[in-house]
Amino acid sequence: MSLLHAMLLSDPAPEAVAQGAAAGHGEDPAEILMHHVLDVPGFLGPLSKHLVFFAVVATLVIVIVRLALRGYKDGLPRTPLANAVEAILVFIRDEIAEKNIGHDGHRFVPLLASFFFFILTAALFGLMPFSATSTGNLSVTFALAFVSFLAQQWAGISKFGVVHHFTGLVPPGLPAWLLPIMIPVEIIGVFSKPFALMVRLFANMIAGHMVITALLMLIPLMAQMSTFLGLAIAPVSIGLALFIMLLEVLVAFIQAYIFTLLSAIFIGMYAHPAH
Amino acid sequence: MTSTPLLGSLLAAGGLTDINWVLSVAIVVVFALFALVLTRFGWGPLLHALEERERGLREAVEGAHKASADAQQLLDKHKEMLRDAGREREEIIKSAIAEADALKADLSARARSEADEMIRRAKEQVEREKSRAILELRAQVADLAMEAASKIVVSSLTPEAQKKLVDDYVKSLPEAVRHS
Repeated sequence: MSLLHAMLLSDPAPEAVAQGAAAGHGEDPAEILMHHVLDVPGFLGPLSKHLVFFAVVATLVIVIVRLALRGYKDGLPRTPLANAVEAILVFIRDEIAEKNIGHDGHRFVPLLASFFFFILTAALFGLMPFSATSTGNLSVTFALAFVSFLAQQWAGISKFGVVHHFTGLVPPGLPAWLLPIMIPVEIIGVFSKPFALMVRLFANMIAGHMVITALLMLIPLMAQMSTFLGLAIAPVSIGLALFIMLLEVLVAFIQAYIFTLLSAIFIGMYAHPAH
Repeated sequence: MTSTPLLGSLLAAGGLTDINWVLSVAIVVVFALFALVLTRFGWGPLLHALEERERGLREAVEGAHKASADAQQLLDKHKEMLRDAGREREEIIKSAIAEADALKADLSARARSEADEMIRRAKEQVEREKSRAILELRAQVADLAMEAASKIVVSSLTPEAQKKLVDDYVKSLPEAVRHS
C-alpha cells in the first residue's frame, strides 16, 4: 500500500502533494485532489506555480512561433513546424476572424492567434508530469477573459465612439417601455460573455485533471481496504486515466478553438451590433 | 514564506473558485506582454509573409489570365494573317496566270506578225529577182535577135522578109517574156 501511495504521490503533482503532506493534511483524498489542481504559492520565489507556468508557456509559444518563422525561406514555409503554425494561423484569420468579425477582423488576428496558441500550449503542457495547467485557475481564466472583454469593447468603441458603442448595445426601434428591461439585460450581456469564457475554460481545464487524480487515487483508497483490491483496481484506474488523458488532448484543442472562436464572435457582435 | 502583503496575496492559493486578484493582474500584464511580443516578432512577420505570398499568387493568376488573353488575341491575329496570306497568294497566282496568258498571247501575236513580215519581204525579193532576170533575158533575146538579124542581113534578105523573120521569132517567145 505504501508503494502504491508513493506512486500516486510522485505522479501528478509531487510538489502539491508533498506540500500538502508537509502541512499535515496529506492523507485526506480531497486535500490531495485540491492540491493537485490548485495554485501552489511560492513556487519560484514569490511567484505562484500557475504564474510561473503561465510565463513558461508564454515563452514556449514565442519560441515555437519564432522557430516556425525561421522555417521560412523566400516567403514559403519549408519546415513542418512552419507549415503547421501557418495552417493554424490561416485558419484563425480566414475561418475565425474574417468570418465572425468581417473585413476589419484582420486587426484582431494577432490577439486571437495568441489566445489560441497560448490556451492550446498551456493545456498540452499541463498534461506533462511535474507541470501545471495554469488555465485551470479561475484567476488566470478571469485575466484571459478580461483581455477578451477589453478587445470586445475596443472593437465597438474604436468603430463607433464611446457613446454610440454603448447606445448601440440596445437594438434600435425598440418600444420605449421595453427599455427598462432591455438596458439591464444588455448590460448583463456585456459581462456575461467574458464570464462564460472564463468559467468554460476554467472548468474544462480543471475537470480532466480532477478526474485523472480521482481515478488514480482509487488505487491507494482500495489498497487501504486490501492489497488485492488495490492491485486489482490499478489497471482499471490507469487505463481510465490514460483515456481521460487522451481526451484531455482533444479538449485542449477544442477549448483553444472555442475560446478563440467565441472571442471573435463577441468582437464581431460589438463591431457589427445590427447583426 | 513571505512577509509583504503583496507577495502574500500572490502566494495565496485560495479555494477552487476564489479569484486571486493580484495573480489576475499579473496574468493580464504577462499575457499583454506575451501578445505584444508575439504580434511584433511572431504574427506580424508571419502574416506579412502570408499576405505577400497571397498577393504574389493573385498577381501570378491575374498575369496568367492576361497572358492567356494576350496569347488568344495573338492567335486570332495570326489566324487572320494566315487567312490574309492565303487570299493574297490566291490573288498573286491568279494575276500571274493572267499575266502569263497575256504575255503568251502577245508573244504569239508578235511572232505571227514577224513571220508575216518575213514572208512578205521574201516575196518582194522574189519579185525583184524575177523582174531582173526577165530584163536580163530580154536584153539577151534582143542581142540574139540582133545577131540573127545581122546574119539574115548578111544573107541579103529583104527588109520585109527581115521584119517578118523578127516578128515570127518574137511571137515564138513565151508569153511572159514578151510582155515584160
